[in-house]
Amino acid sequence: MDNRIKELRKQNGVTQDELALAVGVTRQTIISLESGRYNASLQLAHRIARYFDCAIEEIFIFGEDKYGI
Amino acid sequence: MEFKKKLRTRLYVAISYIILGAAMIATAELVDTAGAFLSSFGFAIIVMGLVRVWQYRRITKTEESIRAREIVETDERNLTIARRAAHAAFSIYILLGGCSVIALQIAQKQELSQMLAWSMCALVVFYWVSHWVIRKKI
Repeated sequence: MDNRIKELRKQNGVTQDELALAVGVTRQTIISLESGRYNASLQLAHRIARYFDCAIEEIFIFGEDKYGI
Repeated sequence: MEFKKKLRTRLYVAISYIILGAAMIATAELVDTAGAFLSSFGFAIIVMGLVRVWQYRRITKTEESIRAREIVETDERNLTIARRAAHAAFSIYILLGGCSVIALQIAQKQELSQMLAWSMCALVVFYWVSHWVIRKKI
């Protein structure tokens, strides 16, 4: 799943460390999220959205899945 | 607060390891038939306990280090990795164990083969029981 975490992070002048600490994960998890290697759980996605004061859909780009939804 | 309680529990377990290790060494000294294995094992358990106590002291030095440790242990990606690694280890063990049972049978090592087969059966039973219990909970 694509996301705009890196873009929002740079816009807000936040480091990976700061974001990781704020949302309660390791820096490695933020790196994996930004590179698309790992998909956040709903809880983590919600925390990230609240951190950036955005809706989840504005950060995580949901493409069409195998069910055609 | 919950995580601090968890850390304290680990400290108590570490202290238990040290006491258990000391008891094993004492038993090995008092009982002639116990052998060197028991005292070596006891020594290893004491070392393990001391390492856990040292880890506890290092982690609980500051609030920041406690928080950092909590993040590492509850990080969802780390938990996902651990779960997948455990699953892979289980699958590999069953596969290699099965081959080993056959190989031991061919090599006429009946007792070893049976022990290994029974331990693998027990592991599979534990898996299904755990699966059933967890399915009821969530």
